[in-house]
Amino acid sequence: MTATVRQKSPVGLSFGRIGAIVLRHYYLLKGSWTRILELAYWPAMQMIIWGFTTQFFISHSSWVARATGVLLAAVLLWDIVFRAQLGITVSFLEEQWSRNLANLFVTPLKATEFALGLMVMSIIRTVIGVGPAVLLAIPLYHFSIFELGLPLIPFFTCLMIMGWGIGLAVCGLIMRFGAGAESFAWATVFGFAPISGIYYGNP
Amino acid sequence: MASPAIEVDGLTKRFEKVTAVDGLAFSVQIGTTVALLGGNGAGKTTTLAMLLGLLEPTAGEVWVLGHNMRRERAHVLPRMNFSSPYVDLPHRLSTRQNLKIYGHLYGIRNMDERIAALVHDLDLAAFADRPVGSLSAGQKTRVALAKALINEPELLLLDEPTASLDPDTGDWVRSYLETYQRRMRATILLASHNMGEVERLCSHVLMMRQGRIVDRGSPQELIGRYGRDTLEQVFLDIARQQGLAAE
Repeated sequence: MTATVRQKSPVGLSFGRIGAIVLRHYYLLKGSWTRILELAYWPAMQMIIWGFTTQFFISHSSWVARATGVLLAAVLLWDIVFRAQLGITVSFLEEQWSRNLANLFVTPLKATEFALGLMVMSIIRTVIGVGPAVLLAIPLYHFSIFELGLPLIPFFTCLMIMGWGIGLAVCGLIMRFGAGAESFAWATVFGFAPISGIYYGNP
Repeated sequence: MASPAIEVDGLTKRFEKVTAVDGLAFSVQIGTTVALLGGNGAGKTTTLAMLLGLLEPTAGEVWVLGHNMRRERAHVLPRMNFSSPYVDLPHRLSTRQNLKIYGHLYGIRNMDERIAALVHDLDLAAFADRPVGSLSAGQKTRVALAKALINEPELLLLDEPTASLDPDTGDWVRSYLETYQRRMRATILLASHNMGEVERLCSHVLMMRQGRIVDRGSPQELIGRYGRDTLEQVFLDIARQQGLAAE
């Protein structure tokens, strides 16, 4: 077969190439139920533990009772940042673990397209990860994050962007310092926890 | 005369205090197959990485298919491809899934047709839907070759294309490359340790040692110049710094 292969313009962003990155990780997730389970497991566990903690305080303190849902909301929203960041870094690490990065970067794929592909995957991973926890909180603790209403949309967007920013920075560190820097993928975001006022208000 | 497929001038790569590639200058004419030969650490893989734009040279320039790789890499990448046993495809994905992803990355329009042709030509049908990680070394090499040919490249860079293959599979891969090169009038630059392979496939050889080209010529010219019977003996002379290359 010759001459039937045609290449699109290499100039500008290509949705086809961004889609290829998404497709690559979609195939990976589709073929691995353990990865999907792992995505949903930690947020669900966090939510359950903090839900019980909240219920304990409700039954022992009338003051905390007024704050029902505060801790659960904090856990779920914090998990959005965490999962958004992991969505970027774990997808990047999957390429590194499978020794596929060189193959990707000798194609016309641009760094921007690669990053956009990882961001789309990050949204998918966050929905798979946090979604079940959000839904479980409704029957278990009568708490719905959706009661936040429309402000939830910009809130979610800002949290995702924050997670992507940290995720891309971590990818840079891993590229610069190699496999020894992989632990940054899980550790870096927690450096922001004390100043984020997740479980307490910042003055 | 048409511009060469590859032109390299003063190409240098330093990693802190180590100079991996030291002032290379060479060109590869369109439609030829050229070998980069040298022992371990001679700088072959680093040179290939700079030709692909994966590594930025410390000094020097690379032109590929008439474009400067430092400034116009995006224009060239759709027309070239690469394969190496040291770079894998995602293990958990099947051959067909991998080819589809790379087809999208290269912007192949008649994707299904192209993949079907590669599966047929490279005899991949029996394992096209199995995860790449479960394949034998020979099967993985054929899959990697299919990936490298998905965009029908004008320029193919191959790093040890038959490393760790049994003689039968190695011979099959070499035959396929010969056929592809003739059919497409493609240019192939390969780094190899297999002297028989180089004698069979290559019209020109660049001998490297310690990051420099220490000799060059056709396999027969080099064999004659060193007064040897085979290219392997020439390689050993150069690697052990005996004869002409040491002068």
